[in-house]
Amino acid sequence: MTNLAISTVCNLNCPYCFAGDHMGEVGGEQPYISRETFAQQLDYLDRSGIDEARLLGGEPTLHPEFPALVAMARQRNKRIVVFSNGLMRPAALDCLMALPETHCHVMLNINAPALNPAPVLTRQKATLKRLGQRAMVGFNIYQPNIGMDFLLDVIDETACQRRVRLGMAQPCLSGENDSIRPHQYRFIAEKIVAFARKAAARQITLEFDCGFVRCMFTDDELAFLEANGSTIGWHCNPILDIDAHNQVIHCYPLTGVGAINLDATSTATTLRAHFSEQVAMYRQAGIFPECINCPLKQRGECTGGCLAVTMRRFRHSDFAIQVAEQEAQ
Amino acid sequence: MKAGYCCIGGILWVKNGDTLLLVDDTQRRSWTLRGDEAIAWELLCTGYRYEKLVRQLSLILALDETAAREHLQAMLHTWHQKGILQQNGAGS
Ligand code: SF4
Ligand code: SF4
Repeated sequence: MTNLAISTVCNLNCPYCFAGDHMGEVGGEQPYISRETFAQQLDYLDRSGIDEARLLGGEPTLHPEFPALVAMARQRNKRIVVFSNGLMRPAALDCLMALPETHCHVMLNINAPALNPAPVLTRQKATLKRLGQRAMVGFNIYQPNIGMDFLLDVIDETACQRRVRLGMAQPCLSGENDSIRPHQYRFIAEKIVAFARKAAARQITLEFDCGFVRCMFTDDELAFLEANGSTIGWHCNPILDIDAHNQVIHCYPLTGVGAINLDATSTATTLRAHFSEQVAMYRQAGIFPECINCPLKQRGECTGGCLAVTMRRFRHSDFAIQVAEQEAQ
Repeated sequence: MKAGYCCIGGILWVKNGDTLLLVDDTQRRSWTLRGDEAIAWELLCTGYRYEKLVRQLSLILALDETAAREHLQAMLHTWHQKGILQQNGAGS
């Protein structure tokens, strides 16, 4: 998988957004990918044998040439995956509706009511209603005490896919965004399981983004989630995000860690190997002090959580110590 | 005359229980410190002066001050040999 960030601008301002360093201003300098750069990125997908164009932002549908970019990707027979907040222009929505259902998947992120004014939710629901089975709801847990039940009503009302993709807000390395702290994971797991029970009663399943960890759930909770169709990977892989200027990063929270430019020979395999090597030393640790000796980690059943969280545990060591000269020999 | 050691640039560390993991991001190396080494490293990172460090080590490790001083010297020497520390003024 690789996400192509085609727009650095967004029409929302979510406090947990981890794309911060990449975000620009509408009308700012080159906020959108050029067609030429996009074609290079499609070449990369072809070289890598990837049959999906996963379009990301900012808000990707704000790109003034969004329909043209979608057409370019379709000419290469790519399935279109869009990560959107649903506040899209009619032309963008029309172009997605013109795609066969099997070749269009919109992950529509909805915020908690406290962050989402009613008119925004109304527009998002209208978009979901139109996209129907082309769309599923995504939700980012950015505070421990957050209600998700309203999402089930949104799904019923809009007849979109009966699935919810849950993400846990992870910190940027700068720590400037709102994010969930590891000591809150267990509390969040309980909330997720309670939500999953209500969802299951309405035949709605849950999917999980990266960064969830095995020890946040009890065995019984996990068994329940799996029995109800949830798949949790406990993964933190270099998904690879490529920005509008062909800069490749591990993922947004790790912006700046080993970033390199896409070239005419890059493939997903070579890039992933590059990033795996860049972060390998940090992977030895994990989000908790216990991770280093965790049997689940040793067996490869948990990666030790989000690397951005892990890396923020590390401290600088900038000490200097004076000793008598003969002692320093 | 005074001489000294400082940490080479780019070293980051994290505590996992009684073990410390040190990584050198610029040269892609890592080390694990345990036991007395982990204790001494943490004390160094608090910024204690050398004499206070010796006294603290002697208390924590139940050594007399001479033994604590020798133990610390040996650890500093080992870290210097491993490339974790450099002698002051040697550049980074
Ligand atoms: S590796 Fe760490 S985060 Fe994963 S299950 Fe073990 S203790 Fe939990
Ligand atoms: S570091 Fe790993 S878990 Fe965290 S956001 Fe990136 S890919 Fe996801």
